[in-house]
Amino acid sequence: MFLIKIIRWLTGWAVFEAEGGFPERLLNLAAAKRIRLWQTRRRGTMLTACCRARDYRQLRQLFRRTGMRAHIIKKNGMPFRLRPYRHRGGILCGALAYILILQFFSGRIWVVNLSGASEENRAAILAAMAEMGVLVGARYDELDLPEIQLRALAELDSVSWLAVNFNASVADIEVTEWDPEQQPPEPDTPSNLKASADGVILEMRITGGQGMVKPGDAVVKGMLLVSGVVESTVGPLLCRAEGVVLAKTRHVLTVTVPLVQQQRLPEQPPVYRPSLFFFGIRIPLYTDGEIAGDRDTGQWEQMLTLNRVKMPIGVTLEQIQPMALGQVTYTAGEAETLAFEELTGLERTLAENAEIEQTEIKLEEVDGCIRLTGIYICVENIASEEKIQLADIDS
Amino acid sequence: MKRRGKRLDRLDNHNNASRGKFAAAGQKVENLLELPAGSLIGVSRLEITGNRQAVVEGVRGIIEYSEETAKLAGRSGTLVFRGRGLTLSHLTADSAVITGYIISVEFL
Repeated sequence: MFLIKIIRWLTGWAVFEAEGGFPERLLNLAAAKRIRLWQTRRRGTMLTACCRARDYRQLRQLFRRTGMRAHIIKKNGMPFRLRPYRHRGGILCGALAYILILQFFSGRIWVVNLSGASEENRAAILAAMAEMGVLVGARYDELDLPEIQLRALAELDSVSWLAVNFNASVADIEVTEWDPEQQPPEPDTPSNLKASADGVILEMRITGGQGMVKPGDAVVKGMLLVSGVVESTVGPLLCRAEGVVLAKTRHVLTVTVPLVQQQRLPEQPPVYRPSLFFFGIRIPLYTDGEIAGDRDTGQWEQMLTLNRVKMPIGVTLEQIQPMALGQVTYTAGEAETLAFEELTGLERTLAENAEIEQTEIKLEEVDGCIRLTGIYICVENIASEEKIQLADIDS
Repeated sequence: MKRRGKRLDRLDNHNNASRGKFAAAGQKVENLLELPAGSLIGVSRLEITGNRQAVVEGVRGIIEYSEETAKLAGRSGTLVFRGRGLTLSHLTADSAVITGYIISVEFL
């Protein structure tokens, strides 16, 4: 019934009143001519009914034949709603443009979301996916997702799992990055533990294999600490050497900062180049050509957002900074500051894997350079696993 | 009104006569094959929902229609609906839907 109402609304309908003459004959003639009447009512001598708008012209003849006087009391439906706008072509053009735009843009990717990727791999993953067709403005019904996922896994070494899902015009790329530390151990693969640095053994906690050194021993880098070949009553057995070997190690970090340096310096004020971004198409809003030579570039974008979703429409601003080699002279104090900053960075990296117990810093000026040397006494796990090559044993 | 009523009555009589020849044979076949009653012989079908709506198939015309009475010419006779506020919700060449407060249905 609801569908019938929609069809009636689309085709337009009229309510008429008729009186006098022969109402029953009118109904029979209308039925014979296949003119649909509904909501037919009789109030005294008055007959009220609804008919399709285009049938009313035929009904006029029937009114004459049955001697009835009739008039329309109400007209409704889309044709009557649109009638006031029939001389306004702009509305029709706008409606057509709306349909065409909707048709064109609804099949395209508007937003590409990436989740599960680290900041350093993000750009590479997005670039690889864009190369395979998953980018703003591309038609998503033309993409072969299973093949894209397989290709992406083959091309992106940092990714162990990848899936592309479409939620309307939003492409959600979900990835799981490859993390060697999270890989399950291979208990069946025989291995040794070797020293990753020179030092003196402080403590050994062996959970697999046979210890080859003991606390207090001095070891050099590459020396066997725990063997995967275990002697038993039935002969030597191969196993996976596991454990922690804590040793006191010594690290020397050196930073040299010349007082006079050749550096890339900004040559001119930066050039800003705005572009209009529209569904993956970048329309330049500048007229000058390519800037040649050494330059640094940066980019900012201001995209239109709707309900916190970034739309593929906006303005991007590219900053181009021409650069040239220039000579920079530092004072001793400035050079020391730079050297300390650099050494602090190296020290922080060292502290990620070792506990620094003692630090000794030496500052000297040698051949026009400030040299900063840090000597660090650390306690760290120097056990490094190395698989036993069975071919070596056989030979 | 009277002239139209007579024409329809004549039509009914003619149909009744011609139908008489085949009705008996059709009914026998229906019984033999256990088909639904009226599937082979042309009779009107009437479906009433409560006392608010009646769907009539096999309508050949409207004989009389007012708020209190709807008299329909069917294939197998005349149906008279009596009630209050009777409305012809739908009317096509061979069916009608009558809504309103139906008090009685008569077969003439």
